[in-house]
Amino acid sequence: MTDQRELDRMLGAFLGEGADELADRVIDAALDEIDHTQQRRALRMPRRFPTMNTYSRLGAAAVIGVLAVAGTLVLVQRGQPGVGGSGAPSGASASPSQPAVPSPSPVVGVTDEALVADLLAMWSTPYDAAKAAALYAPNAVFYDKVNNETLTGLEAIQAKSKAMEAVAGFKAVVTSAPIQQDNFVAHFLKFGNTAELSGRGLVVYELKDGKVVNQWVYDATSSAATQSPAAVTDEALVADLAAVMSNPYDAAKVAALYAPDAVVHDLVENLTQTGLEEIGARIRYLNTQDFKVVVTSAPIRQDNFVANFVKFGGGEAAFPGLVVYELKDGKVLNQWVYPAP
Amino acid sequence: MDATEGDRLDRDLVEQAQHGDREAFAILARTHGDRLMAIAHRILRDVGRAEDAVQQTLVIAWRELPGLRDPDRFDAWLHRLLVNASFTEARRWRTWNANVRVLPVDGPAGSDEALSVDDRDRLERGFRRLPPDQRAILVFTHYLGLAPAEIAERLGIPVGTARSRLHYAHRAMRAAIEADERPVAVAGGRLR
Repeated sequence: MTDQRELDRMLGAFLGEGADELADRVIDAALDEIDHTQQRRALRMPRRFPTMNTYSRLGAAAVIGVLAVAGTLVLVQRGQPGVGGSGAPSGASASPSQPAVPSPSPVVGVTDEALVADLLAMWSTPYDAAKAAALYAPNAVFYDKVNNETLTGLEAIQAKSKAMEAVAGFKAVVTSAPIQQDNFVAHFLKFGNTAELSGRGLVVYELKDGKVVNQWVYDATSSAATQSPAAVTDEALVADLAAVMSNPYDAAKVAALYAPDAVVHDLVENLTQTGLEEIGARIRYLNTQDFKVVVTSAPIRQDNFVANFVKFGGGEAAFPGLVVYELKDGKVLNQWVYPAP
Repeated sequence: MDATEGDRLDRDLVEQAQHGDREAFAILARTHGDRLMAIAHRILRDVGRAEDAVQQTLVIAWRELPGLRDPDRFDAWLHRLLVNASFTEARRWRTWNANVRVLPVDGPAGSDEALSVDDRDRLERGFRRLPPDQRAILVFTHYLGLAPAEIAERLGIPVGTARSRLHYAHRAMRAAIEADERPVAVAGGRLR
């Protein structure tokens, strides 16, 4: 048996060998290419909403959506029809076209109830910087994956929220119950204006010491032209999908669960598998690593997107994660696997 | 020039390059190029592919540099771009699992005092069987001397994932070494 010290020594010596100089021609070639390459403009907060394009507008709306939804978590948890039991949250008044807020029964132990309650109180009323400061950690970070923008710090989040408050007719609606794993909470939402809720997002919050320390909004806009109900319940579906990754490779099961052109976006390992063959190869590799996926929350759904928390890893290792599936005709068209830090 | 002065110079150059200064970026590229090449070559085990990965990294770095919020994080950010470029290069060639034939690694060899030829062959064979993510974690650990927390920060992955990858990579390398040490092979269920 090779002990760890001997293995470390061998690997240190082995990896100490190799090329240590980059040829000038490589740098010259890169610099030549750079001469014809424009730098990507750094994303900046728009000064005026009317100058934003549609996509940016939706993303900006998501900022408010996220915060409004944070309050709505309490609404869902308490099973109340509106903020304070008498009205709708700011920008989220009911209309016939809006999906109903789910019943509170699927909620899995939202432990930071006081935080969520305070968030609700804040975001169902006009913007209040002091309340925001009390509820968000000074170094809170908002990751807007719709616009590929990151707002770091309370002031940046406050500034954008305040700017967006001026947007008339903004509306955000929670479309799923929240799910929770440890100190992470997630749910779907739709957002837009009074005429149309055209934005789709999946919101994830990280709570710590009674404050929001991180929040993410992922784009949940479907790329599938058509959709039909899955043949099984969402609970059965996510259980089958976890099992197919955890058990010895079964081509028939993979083909039954994934569309032929399915894509798995593994944001943990920074890998992408396209098509059944690549997905199968990945599963065969995971089999060799004693890899397991354990579903740790009920699934939530918005249109043809389904999400659930998981823990994954090999052997005794268990790492928290979030899996999102986009379904088409009852099969997975896209799958995203996100790590939870 | 001490480390602090060097860091300040790097930061100045990064900030200039962020504002479109190509000369500043050229200095950064030449300063960091050797280290990038060393890392890429150790992951990819091929000079040509490593050069492609480094070239691609430099171009992406230039394009995305205005979005780098903390110029002091340039080095770590560059390493993350390099690892991603190496993964892309690896996927393009798709030889990770297929290539188990031991080939001499391109580039200068190290001293024979540290490793025997047999040890090196075994390590090379085992390393080439690893997927790119595990290769990278071994290079960052045993070549750069980084701890899992530092690697996680550089690669933008959870610390647990870094530890997990390192565990699996060590296990795979140990298995490769020990499998090759066995004197007999099993074929068709019978010893030969």
